[in-house]
Amino acid sequence: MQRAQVWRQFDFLLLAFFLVLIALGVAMIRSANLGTPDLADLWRTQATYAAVGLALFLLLALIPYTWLRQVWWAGYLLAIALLVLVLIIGESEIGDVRRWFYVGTFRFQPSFPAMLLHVVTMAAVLDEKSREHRVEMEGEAVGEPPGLLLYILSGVMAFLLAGLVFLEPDMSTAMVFIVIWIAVAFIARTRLLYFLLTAFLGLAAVVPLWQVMKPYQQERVLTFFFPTRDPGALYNINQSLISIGSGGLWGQDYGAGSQSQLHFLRVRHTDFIFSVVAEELGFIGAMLVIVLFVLLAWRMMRAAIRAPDRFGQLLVVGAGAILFFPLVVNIGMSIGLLPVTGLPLPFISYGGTSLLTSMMALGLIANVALRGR
Amino acid sequence: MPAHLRRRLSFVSTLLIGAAIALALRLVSVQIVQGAELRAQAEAARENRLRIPEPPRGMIYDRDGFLLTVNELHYSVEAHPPFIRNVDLAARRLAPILHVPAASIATVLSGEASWVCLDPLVTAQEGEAIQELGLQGIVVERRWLRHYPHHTLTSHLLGFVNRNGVGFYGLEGRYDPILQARTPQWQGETGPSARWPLPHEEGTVDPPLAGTDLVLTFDLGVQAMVAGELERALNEFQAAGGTIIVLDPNTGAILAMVTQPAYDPNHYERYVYQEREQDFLSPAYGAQYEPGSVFKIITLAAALESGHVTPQTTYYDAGRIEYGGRVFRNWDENAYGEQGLVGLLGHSLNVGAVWLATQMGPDDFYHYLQAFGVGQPTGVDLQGEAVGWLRVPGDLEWHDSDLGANSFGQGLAMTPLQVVSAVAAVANEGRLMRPYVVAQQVRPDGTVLDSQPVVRGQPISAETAATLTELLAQALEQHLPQTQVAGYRIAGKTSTAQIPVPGGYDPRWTIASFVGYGPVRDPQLVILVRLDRPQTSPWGSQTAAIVFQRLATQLFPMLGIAPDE
Repeated sequence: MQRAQVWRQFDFLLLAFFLVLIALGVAMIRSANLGTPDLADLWRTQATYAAVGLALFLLLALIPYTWLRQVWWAGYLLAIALLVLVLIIGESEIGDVRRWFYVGTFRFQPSFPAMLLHVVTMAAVLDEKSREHRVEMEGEAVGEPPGLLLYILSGVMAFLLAGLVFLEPDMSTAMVFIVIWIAVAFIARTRLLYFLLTAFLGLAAVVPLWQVMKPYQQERVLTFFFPTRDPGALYNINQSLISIGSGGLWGQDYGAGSQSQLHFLRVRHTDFIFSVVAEELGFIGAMLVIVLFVLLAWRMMRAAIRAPDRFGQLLVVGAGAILFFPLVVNIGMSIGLLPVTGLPLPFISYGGTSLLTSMMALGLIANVALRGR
Repeated sequence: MPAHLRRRLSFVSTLLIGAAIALALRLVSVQIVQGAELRAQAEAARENRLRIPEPPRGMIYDRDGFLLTVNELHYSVEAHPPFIRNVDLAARRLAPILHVPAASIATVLSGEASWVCLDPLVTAQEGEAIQELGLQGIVVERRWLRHYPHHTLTSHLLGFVNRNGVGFYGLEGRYDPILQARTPQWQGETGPSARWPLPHEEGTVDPPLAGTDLVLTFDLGVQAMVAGELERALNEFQAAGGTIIVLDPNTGAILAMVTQPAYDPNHYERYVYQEREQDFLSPAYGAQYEPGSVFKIITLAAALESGHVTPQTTYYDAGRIEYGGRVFRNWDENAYGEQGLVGLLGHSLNVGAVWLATQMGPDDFYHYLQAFGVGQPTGVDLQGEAVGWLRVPGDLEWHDSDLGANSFGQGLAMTPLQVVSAVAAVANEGRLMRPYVVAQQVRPDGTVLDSQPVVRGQPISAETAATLTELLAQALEQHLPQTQVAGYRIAGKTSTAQIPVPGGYDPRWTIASFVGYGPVRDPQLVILVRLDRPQTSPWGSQTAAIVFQRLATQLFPMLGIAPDE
């Protein structure tokens, strides 16, 4: 591929959309912490992470993605190693939770990069058959569907990672791993019968699993599905709804949302950043976020359709799951449609690990788009 | 691309678009449809007053700077149950401090309420111990408790402050608005715990301000001495109660005001529980009685001032006089024959008083009564003053015979403070002063506001006042030697008032009183002594007059008043 051609194929629209999202995020983090001197400089930190993320995005966009296929197993082992290690030496500020590595003042959440490694693993394993029987049809990427054995293998591998994350415990992030697996397997054209069997197995496992669980674990699961059991979560969701509602059509103006600025809204710059957007920038601002994500989804689907091979196609879908599942869960939580979870809003919520992971996921998508037809 | 792959990709696209539409619809519902309602909720939640721990209430000092009130630091213990992580732990730690079983605290904390008061009042040590526990969701708030170190001695003067910090009766009631510490009333938008104003809002917050201090005209030393004498008199004369007021006639400043029985303001709730709130009303200014013969001072003042009599005037006392269809007799039902004004006062002749009133006629008589403040509040700076009661011609129930009865203090009602203030006008060259207790208000910023004596009016001229004083002094010298004070010439009048009951007067009991002032050359003190239902003798001359003599004998030297030469 010629250098000139590389840039002709490069998805500048994709880059533009997410840069707008990140800029919006940095601005909203600044607004969310205007009244909190300790956190007032977090937006600068986020902007710094964004600069680093841009480099990683370009790196992941430009290396030939087929290389990843050669080393997927190393990546998978690395993911397991990280997730085991965090269970041993991980820490957290919130009680008996082992979710982060602390290096000096830096904090690093290994489950996020593990998601990326997991996407590569799932794409490689579920596309395994196509490596031997390369099928081209009218010049488009068509792969063999995985057989039952590969499907089960990929499922076991996915559940292993998800299980390790669940032990941290971090149920919502564990769910992202499962969603990635389902998304990749679905686009790999796994037989729907297998999915039905999986769903059936899952339902059948609920009762014995529930009995094995300790009371505090049961409580945690119940709180996940019925957040009103937790008065703190109930308060947060009520304040979030009031914030979003007070935003109205045009919002209360940047830095002037009463709910955000007066700290009625908690975890403003992370979990509930969307509520800050909706309060201060109104329906218009909230829709801007959703429309930008729809445009990103359009670029993602375009990259998937035009992928040069099935591995690339699966990479795009897996990377998309990293972005769009937390997106829907986070906004759904903010507006009271879905349970309260700790999943961040990609590109906008404060958090270095999350931001870098989202940008690297987009890097994978841009990479496949670059080589698409 | 095979059709089934295309279908699966389309499915994913549809899923994403569907999710986006669902989110957008929900946003329309929350932001556009429910927007106004939610915005109102937000406003209701953030409109707040900043609560800053209250500074203490203003202090009250006597005129020598002795403290009459104390502010004790207490705390209230409050809980926000939703923020309590471990209810059982919190209950176990609070139980020994609050002296309440842990189980009952736990029950309260497990309730649905978002706020509960665990104890409205704990001591400073208990409150600070709870604060040091650092339990999340448990807060202590400063509460000042008013304490009165002199208990019953000052209760009717001071009143009291209830547990919510509101003053009632006396000075605490009258001066409540300025005694109250000023908590800043910064009203605006704040955060949920009312600690953050909006960053772009620049509210001006006045610093918390302690209450204004009061310095009184009142003298604690005089009060204690007077209280001792009253106590002695109640025992000696077997009286049910009594009131003594000491006043400076030149200004109206109240030096002492002792009442028995009195309540203990430190335990005001007990009186409330027992439904004895009437005990809070001071007999000195909050309750009225028929003053009786002491009223002859006012009648004679009116007669002299209006020119109907002169000091040389005499009248013939037949022992009875009829006016308005009613016959009035002297206290002993005797006839005293030819009498001068000194005899009229000295023998306390009702017939003479009625004769004076009939000489004047109702117009003059009631004009002067009102000029002396009968039936009107004195305007004293104490809460709970009674107005008294006077019928005048033109009132539906006024009758001609009232003129006769009123002339010697029957058929009308006054408070002891009204009586002493009217007599003080005679002592003060005819000027009627407003009685008052607060000499100075000391604001927390240090500025001092001095009270100025207020002249309410001049019912009689200085000459008439001097004449009347001389008559009163002579009457005492000639008829009541037991009232004489060595070294000081005094003026005054006894009174033995009957107690009105439905249908007439109580046959057994009297109110014995004496109002006197001195020294005659330049009166400095007016003293009213009132004894309720004395048993050793019903007569003011044999009870209250003696108490007056004892008080005057001690007070003139005590207050540095030079004796007569």
